[in-house]
Amino acid sequence: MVPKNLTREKGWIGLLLEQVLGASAGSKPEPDFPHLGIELKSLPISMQGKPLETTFVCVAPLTGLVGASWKTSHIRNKMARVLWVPVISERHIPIGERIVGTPFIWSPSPEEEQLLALDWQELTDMIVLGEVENISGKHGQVLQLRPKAANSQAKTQAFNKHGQPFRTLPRGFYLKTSFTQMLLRNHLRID
Amino acid sequence: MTIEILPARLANQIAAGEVVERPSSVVKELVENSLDAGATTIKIDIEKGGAKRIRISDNGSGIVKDELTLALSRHATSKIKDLNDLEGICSLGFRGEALASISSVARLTLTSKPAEQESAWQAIAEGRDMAVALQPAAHPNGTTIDVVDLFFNTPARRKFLRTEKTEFTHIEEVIKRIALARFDVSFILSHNQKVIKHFKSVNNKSLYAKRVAQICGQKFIEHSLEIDCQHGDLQLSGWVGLPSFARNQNDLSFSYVNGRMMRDKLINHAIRQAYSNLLPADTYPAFVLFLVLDVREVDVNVHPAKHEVRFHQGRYIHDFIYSVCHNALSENANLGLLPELENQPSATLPLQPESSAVNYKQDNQLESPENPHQATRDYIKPLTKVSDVQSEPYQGSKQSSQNNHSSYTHSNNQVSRNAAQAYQTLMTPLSGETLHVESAAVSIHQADENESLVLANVIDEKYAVITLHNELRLLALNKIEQAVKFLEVKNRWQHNFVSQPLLLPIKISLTQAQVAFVEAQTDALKKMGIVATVLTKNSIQVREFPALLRNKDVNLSVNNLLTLLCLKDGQELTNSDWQQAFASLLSADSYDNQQAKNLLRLSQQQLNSTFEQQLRLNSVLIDLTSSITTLTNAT
Repeated sequence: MVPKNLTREKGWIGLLLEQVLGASAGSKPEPDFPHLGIELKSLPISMQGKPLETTFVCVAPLTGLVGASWKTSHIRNKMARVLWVPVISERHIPIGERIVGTPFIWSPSPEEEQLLALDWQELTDMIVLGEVENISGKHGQVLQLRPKAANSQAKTQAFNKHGQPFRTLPRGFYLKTSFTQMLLRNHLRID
Repeated sequence: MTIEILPARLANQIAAGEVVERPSSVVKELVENSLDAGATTIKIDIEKGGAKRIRISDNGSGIVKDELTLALSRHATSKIKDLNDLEGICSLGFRGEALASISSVARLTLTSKPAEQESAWQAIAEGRDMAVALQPAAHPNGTTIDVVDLFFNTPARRKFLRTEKTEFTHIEEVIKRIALARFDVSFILSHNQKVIKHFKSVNNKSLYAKRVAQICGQKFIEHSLEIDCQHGDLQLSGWVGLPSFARNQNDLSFSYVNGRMMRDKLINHAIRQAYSNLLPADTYPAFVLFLVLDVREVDVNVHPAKHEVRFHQGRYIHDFIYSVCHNALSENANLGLLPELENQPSATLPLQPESSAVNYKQDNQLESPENPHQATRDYIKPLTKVSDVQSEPYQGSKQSSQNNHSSYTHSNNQVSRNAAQAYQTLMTPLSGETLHVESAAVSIHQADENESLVLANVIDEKYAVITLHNELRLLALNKIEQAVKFLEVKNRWQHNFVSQPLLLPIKISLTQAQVAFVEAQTDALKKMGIVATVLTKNSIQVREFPALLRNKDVNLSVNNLLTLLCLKDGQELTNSDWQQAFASLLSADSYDNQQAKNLLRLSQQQLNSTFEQQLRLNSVLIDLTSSITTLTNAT
């Protein structure tokens, strides 16, 4: 069943691609193709090849971050090797007629990883020090931390600025569009 | 309004505004001075809540007579000498302001006798410029500072003073906090000639708890856990109150960093988090904790009263404090009741300083090279290899992959050395797009008579009117560019050209003959960077296209290419044919004056000795005879 719109099923195209390509991990904390170590990411873009939205990477842990480091982080693991599948997904195109572009395999270059790691450090420092509520989309050059929840009732545990536990919306790491656009430009010819 | 230097006293009074808030701040500054002087006994005499008198006597090292004057001036200190010292402060004070500030808002007498000096001397700062008067005095080894009539000359400040009792409570609090940090020093605090507190020095570890009990109450010691944990250069020791001993105020929260009392957010956050759900929401934990770390890892020059510090590795310190406290508390308590804590990896200290992690702080590389404590900093080791291209990481990524690619293999594995080189050319614009940056220094000027080549103008965007050795000629710009590109292509021919996948494959309609040609020459096309498959008899699909042709239209380029190559119908195509065709695709079809100029300059460099020959080959002499005739006839 192709849905009429994606307001209720945001990840539908991604799931479809996973199905077709035989990805197995789903949302488990391992790559979509575990034996290849490859993560599948669909990338909605405009006709001009511009990413239409930020790209969700993974849920950001808000607790249990003691001694966390970029090298061992879940997000780094997720981003180690990604199969990007651009999909021309402008709103007015019916879901069934959206066009899948040329996919490409990507691993972060040292510079890209540096950018990701710096943002991760800054955001994680803020989470650990109880500033999670103060993190907005403005933090981070290429990586963002934003609420990621089915609705505003779904809450998870975190620590506030006094170190006391409290409940807040779950957060996710998102790649900013400028970053994904750069990836597209570096790997594909876009007219 | 004229601009003038403030008188010394006024300047000091301004500084006093930050440091000397109330009598207890005076006590804090002076007692810390005594501790920095190595005193083992400190007597604090207070009269009328400190408003009348604050007298601190110690048995520390004292101040020699010659330095007494300096001791009372602002920005004079024995605690640091240069910037290097400021980065690793071992003493409690360092600003060189306390005495000058205090003496600007009170009558301050400084009496001191170093052990090696025969007699004691007394110094008093007086008047607008705070000139210091010296006189002999009687005093045992050590220093006494007598502060009388605090705020006598700043009535505004005096109004802020509370009752005698309140002010004394603040002083008592300060002494308690300091006494907790220095078990090895005796403190005697008296108010209106009555001894209120007497903390005897203890040098035996087992007796430490006794002094803590004296200050924080026996109940605290009974309901707390003693901790002591060393991890690398970090050490955390002290007592954490059991959750059952939760307080309604945070009146039993004592934290120290290298012996300095703190009200630091990060530390309190870590401790509170360690209690997690063990404490009700609106209560405070009780603790006395001492954090000891390398003085270079912490910046105390943040706040004038030094209640806050900045850790160079904030999160690391936070996690360390959290882990130690949390482990102590959870070992003690019945942890099983706390399901949400179970999945936290806290069974053992999970902090492993990581070798080669990423740059924790961006400016880190500034300080690390000559740092003797590098071992402790592995955790924040920057990826130094790339840090110098940070400013333009986007463009730089491809170029530096050429340098690093041996050590760096996990991306684009097909990026070989040649490919990287080709990519570099890709990133360098094809025609004169950026070349005009340096075009000021060209030899091709429009009106320089000494030049053998002068560019006059571009006509129809395709031709240039030039004078070559004083001959007026019309030059086909496109041809000359092709000659240049041909040379480039030829030089690189033995390597494959980098191709770029198209975002969406493009379908191109062609004649049957052309389709057949594409089918037959698939490999040769691929070498050029064109990946195409035959769709039908009349169309092909292009999937990848040469990176060098990034700015050209795919459809048009393919058509042009095939038109050029299919001309040689039946004949075997030579490398040179391919190269010619590719060169023609690379060339522009229209030029403005600036581009033409750049092209000529580039050609001159590239073609070298054959430049002039190529110019002649691709240009014709402009015959002006008929024009001249017309002109002559007209007159």
